[in-house]
Amino acid sequence: MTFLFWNLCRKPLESVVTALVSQHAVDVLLLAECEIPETRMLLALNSGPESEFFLSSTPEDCVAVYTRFPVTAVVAHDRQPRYTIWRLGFSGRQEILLAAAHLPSSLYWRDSSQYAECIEFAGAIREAERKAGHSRTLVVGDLNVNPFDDGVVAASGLNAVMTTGLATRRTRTVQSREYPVFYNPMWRFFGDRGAQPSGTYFYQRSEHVCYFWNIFDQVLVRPDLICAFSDPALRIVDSDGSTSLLNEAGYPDGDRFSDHLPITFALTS
Amino acid sequence: MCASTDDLWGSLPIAPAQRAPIAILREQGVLLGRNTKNLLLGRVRAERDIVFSSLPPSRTGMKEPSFFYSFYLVAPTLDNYAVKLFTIGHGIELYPVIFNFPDGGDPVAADTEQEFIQRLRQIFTSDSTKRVIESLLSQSQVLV
Repeated sequence: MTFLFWNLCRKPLESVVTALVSQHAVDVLLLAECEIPETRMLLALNSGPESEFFLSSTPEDCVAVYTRFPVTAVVAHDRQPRYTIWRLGFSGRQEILLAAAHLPSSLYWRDSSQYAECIEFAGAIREAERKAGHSRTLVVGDLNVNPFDDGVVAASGLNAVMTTGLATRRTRTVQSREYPVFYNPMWRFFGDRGAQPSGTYFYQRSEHVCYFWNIFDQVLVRPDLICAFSDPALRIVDSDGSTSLLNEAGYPDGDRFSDHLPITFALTS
Repeated sequence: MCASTDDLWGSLPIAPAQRAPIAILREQGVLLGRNTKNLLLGRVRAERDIVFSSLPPSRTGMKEPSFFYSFYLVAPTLDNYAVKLFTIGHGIELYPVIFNFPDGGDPVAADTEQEFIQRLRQIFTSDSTKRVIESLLSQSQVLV
């Protein structure tokens, strides 16, 4: 089962999206800042003889969700302004929880508010897992914070660690309180990767602290799904197969496409 | 020690001789999606606590159905706006199936799978159903 997440930056990119869906054989498509009318997106996705894609989200959801699975298999469990937690229950597979988020931007929120929002989000995920009776959970979205930021790393936040080895500890205990961990596979994309992008979002400004490349678009995996998570399938996508999503400088081409790059990943059965 | 007994179930009808009405409705729901690029879906919902207020005249005195399913036309791009086309009811024996209509139309019955399919064809191709489909599609396509 292949997923693709992309923050479209309110651009009418349906033809690029459909090319990516075809290129990566995407089953679950998640789009943030998507202002493409749902009908237009559905018609674009279903332009072939088979009408394979269904719209699962409603206008309330901050991340639009299109899947190849019947709408009855993709059910909203908790809808909030900045995230929706979905239950995906397909025949022949164990149910998973998918928390799709677009958290507030540092352009408008101070760091401490972003941190607090991550704590709220993490609490909602734990509550959804308690109600579902399992923790086969993925978080995906534009978290608007980096993998090393406090909201993602903190035990009381998303508690996401950088290796599967750390994640197999399953929990971290702080002050006698136990917090479940996520595995955050996005760490590997930092640093020099040759011609490949070193993040999903590029931002430079004349101030003392500047990372240039950021990885705001992330997937986090609970330990119970690590065995199904296909590490080689995780990619930051920089081309739709024929056209680069980067500008001449090698940064996301926000003029022609989006200032974020898509990510794609897969779960095996 | 527990002594095991023989299998007393005999040969079970694993492959049913006739299709359940709900299976046919679900197939038609999928086909509606396929024919409209999933702008419209046919959704079947199991209903509980339903009592048909009336039965077809020829079925007066018939045992009240035990299983009820409603068939909806759903427009996902209109925030899942849904229109109920009909509710069916049947007993443990699947057929006959009784159709009840939300607009107060007369209930009708189908005694066999073939009759059930024929009734569905009449409902799906009726002017009133086409008007609903046209309205939902036209509103969906405004949002392109």
